Amino acid sequence: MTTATHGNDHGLSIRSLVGLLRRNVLLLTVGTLIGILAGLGATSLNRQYAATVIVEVAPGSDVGQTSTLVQSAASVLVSPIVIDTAAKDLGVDSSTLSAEVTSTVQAGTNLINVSAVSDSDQSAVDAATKVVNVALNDYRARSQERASQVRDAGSELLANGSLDQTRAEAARQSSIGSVVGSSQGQAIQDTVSVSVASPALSAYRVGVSRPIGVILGAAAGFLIASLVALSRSWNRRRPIKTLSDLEYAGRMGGVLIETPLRAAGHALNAAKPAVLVLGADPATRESLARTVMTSMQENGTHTALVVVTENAGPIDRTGEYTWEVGDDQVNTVMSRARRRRLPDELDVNTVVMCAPISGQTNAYLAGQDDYVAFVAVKRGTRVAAAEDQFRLVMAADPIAVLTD
Amino acid sequence: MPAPSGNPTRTGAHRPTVRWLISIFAATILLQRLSLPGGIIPVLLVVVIAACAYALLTGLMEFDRTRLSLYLLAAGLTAFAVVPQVLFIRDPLVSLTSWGLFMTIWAPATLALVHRSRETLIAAFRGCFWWGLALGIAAVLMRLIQMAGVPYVDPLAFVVPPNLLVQGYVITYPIEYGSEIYRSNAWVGLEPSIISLQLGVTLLLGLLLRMNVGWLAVVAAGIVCTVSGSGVFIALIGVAVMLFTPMRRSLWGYVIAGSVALVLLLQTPAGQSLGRRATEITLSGSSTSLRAIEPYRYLWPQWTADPHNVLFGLGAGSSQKLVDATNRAGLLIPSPVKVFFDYGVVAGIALAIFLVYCYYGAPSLSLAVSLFTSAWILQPGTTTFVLVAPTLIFVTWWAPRAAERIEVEPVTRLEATRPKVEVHL
Repeated sequence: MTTATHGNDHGLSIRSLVGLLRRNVLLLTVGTLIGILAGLGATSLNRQYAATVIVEVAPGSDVGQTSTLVQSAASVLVSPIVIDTAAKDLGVDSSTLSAEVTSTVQAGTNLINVSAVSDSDQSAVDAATKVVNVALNDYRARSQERASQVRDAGSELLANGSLDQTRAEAARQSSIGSVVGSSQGQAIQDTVSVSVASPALSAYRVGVSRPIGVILGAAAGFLIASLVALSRSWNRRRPIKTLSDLEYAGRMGGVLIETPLRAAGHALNAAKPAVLVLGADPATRESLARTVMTSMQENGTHTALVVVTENAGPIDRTGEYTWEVGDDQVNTVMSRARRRRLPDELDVNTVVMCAPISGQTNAYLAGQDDYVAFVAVKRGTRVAAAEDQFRLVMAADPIAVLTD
Repeated sequence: MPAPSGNPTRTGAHRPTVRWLISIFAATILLQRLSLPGGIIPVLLVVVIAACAYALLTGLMEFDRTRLSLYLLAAGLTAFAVVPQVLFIRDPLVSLTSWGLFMTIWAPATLALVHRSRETLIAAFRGCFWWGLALGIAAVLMRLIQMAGVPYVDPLAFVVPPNLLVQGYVITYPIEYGSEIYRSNAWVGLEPSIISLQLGVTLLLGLLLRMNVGWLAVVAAGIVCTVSGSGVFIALIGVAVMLFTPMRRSLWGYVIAGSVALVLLLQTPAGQSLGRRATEITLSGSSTSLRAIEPYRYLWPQWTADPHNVLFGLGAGSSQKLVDATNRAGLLIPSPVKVFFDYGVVAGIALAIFLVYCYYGAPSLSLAVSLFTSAWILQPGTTTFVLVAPTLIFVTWWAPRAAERIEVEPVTRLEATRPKVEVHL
């Protein structure tokens, strides 16, 4: 027996969820396939390659200076003048190249990754290599310029100064020459401190790999499709087709849900003097009542069926085990059943009473323990209509039965 | 008509639910350091997922339709974000593991307890308080033993192989440079700050349940011994919220006693070292700054460099990879960064709505607000399961609440001391 969620409009049992997913297998499959195609398409359409040149910066006199040198070099490597020159050489737009190339310091080292991302592997290698070459040439040009500035300054010092004594002059020139040479060396060292540690020989795929795109796409498709399936189940105007639909309709009052045969078994086990079968549709409730009666008789319980019929008279036999009673006699009949007189009068163990849901029947439901109460819900009834029926007979703790 | 089997009588606590919930809280305390081989997937996550499956099958729990719908939307959109990321983001960093772990951690938030009556809630919270109190006692003991001259050792490291312990956490460290006293992690804690947070929650439970002041003092002492502000933050926010509710009438005694204890505590070395941490957020490199300020300072320029980054995010796990690349110990990823940096505004809003909704409809406003504030400001509250667990245990699984908030209808002395007898048919 299934219990609809007890008093909680928000709840959904695991059984209901599994049932919901099973009923929407097609939707879930289509959603998953669309997701797979989206993931596959995106990762196939957007193939990106990256190539990286690793640049080494000569260490400074201490850790702080090295860090400053490395950070400065990382900026200079992708500076506008470098990018503009490289773009001109490669024949591409400067802004495009600027977006494609990055320089990143490898944390804790004096190495810089200059990476280029492009649509083809060769252009990624070319871009990374060209940018680094231009940057290094720029460094060299600047170091040469600096060295020549130092040399010129030294030459001027040597040429313009003079001493009276020849030996003093020779010593002075030798000393200045040494200083100039040292300055030139330092100037070159200060500027040409960057070199290629590892060139970009080939490119590699970057971004999202195809398997990851497919897996995430499939997950997205499945999850969104599940959401659609779940939201469809919230529709109170949908017809009840399965026990899970009926369970959803009965969620507010914790109504128990059963099939007709299992309901009959439950009535048999309960061994009450009366079984009350209620329902909005006369044919549906009578069908369920007959199923229950037949099942109980087959199991050795003498059972009579009393059908409440509009405009019928006092209780009147219509068949071997069937009686009919007018709807204005419901009070009397139920009162007799409650006092166990009716089964005795009809010479049976149990009376199965089939009645519409009305104020008269409902008046007998609260707090009673002489009945097993069923609500027959015809397959195809809208969820909202079933909810209305349950609300009326809630006092009887009824068992809802899905009936064809 | 017999009463339907499985339906509880509503006059008492539902004992199976109470037992189950207390067991989960005990597991969050005892199992937080254990992992599956490899040190990445915590045992706690596996245990809670298995316990939720058991609870679903036995009818202790059910899916909450609203949270399930929001979860499916958030999970679906964040997974689908890979498509625009591939198409529009330059070299996106997408980690399938990161997305999967995130969604697995928050999957239990789609569930709700079937039996959420006030009696069940009080009994469950009461049981959890005792476990929290035991944790507080352990934290204090750890400090006292060290003060007696016994050096700190990690007993779990002797018993459990390293590959079965969660990696990447600083289990504990000296309370200050050169000190031989280590911050209390109660020997079982993943970090002192996590123990502090659990004790902060315990303190709030004690206040909500109007527990004995002495027990609360022990829990507070435990927080002090961790020398971590996480528990203090939780307790302060929670008490501040309580003061704006009808519960304040029963709170003044605790507030006065707590204030006196606080003044006395600040005279002790432990209290002073905790007090010094109150203003550390202004210091670059401090624990609080690394949690609440510096992650934004570091990741904001990268996120806003391109409008596509803002719209679609840089990929699941990208924030973690970039933060790891800084080699800055202690630099954490707060929830807003994780949500919007990784998944962008489009999917991130759906994810944020789900995460925020997990705090909606809680039976205790103070617990919900304090845990939410902690998770969204201080803690890496979306991907560390031991930090997510208190939210599930004390907030989400009880929502939508079945009765009035505890702060509005405070627990009576009788309820606190003599819970109603359970009748389960």
